[in-house]
Amino acid sequence: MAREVGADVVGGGAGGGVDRDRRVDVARQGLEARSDAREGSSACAAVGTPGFTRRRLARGVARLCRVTDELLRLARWLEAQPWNRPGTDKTWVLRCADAFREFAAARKRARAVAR
Amino acid sequence: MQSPDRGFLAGLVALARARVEFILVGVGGINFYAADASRAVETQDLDVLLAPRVEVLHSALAALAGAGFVFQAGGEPFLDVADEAALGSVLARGATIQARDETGAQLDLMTSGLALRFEDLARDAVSFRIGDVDVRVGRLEKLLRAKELAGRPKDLEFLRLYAARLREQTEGS
Repeated sequence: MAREVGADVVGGGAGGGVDRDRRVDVARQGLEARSDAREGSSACAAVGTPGFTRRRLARGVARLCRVTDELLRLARWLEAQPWNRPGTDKTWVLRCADAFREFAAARKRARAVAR
Repeated sequence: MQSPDRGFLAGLVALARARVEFILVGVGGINFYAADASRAVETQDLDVLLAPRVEVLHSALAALAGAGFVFQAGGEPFLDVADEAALGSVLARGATIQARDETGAQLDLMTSGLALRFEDLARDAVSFRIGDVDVRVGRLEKLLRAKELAGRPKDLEFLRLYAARLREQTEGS
């Protein structure tokens, strides 16, 4: 079952037996996922934050974050839309990105002048 | 108005014309699937995943240098663009070289990444046109998975935002 993206699945505190088992399970999943990633597997699911270390896992501060089933379904819907047929001209995407970037730079300059 | 021979557009066209093997990933790649400009997500750079070979990296740097880009690696200017040993070292470390032009457009030339193995992405990458050239973009699902795996707060926030936008889009269609 998909978990909420970024959902905290472990907490602090004294950590009872169940919680501790869960933390260990989360830690194992995270490490397995990272191992899969190094192998280039597409099966990666459980991940940790940057600096996802054994010590952090042991403290139970790891986060389990997933691309949810809903997001996958939406992504597949989007890919299947007519504007995403292979070979479609996407020049506008780059023009848009350039315009965004230039606008952000101009805004930054204007703020600097205002100060 | 933006000149067509500068910025992101010029950089990607230069890479494609030089027949550099690359796949667009990251938010810049995800934006290729947007329905229109209002659905695109603002990004300051484009992530370009290169086939991890010295000759590919060399071709990419030569093509971008010709388009007016300069390079940085690890915060230092990267000048050894034709030095095979230096390029080999970049590949061995899986490092990223930042290519930047005078307009501030930045292409991150990645040689590796979490959940971003070139061979895996190339298998089913989608080919789109940019003017008279083709560029390949990673499958949307894989790009989202890579964001998930990166796991930085901004990546997780992006996934939440993106899911909300897609939900809104499907409800409105």
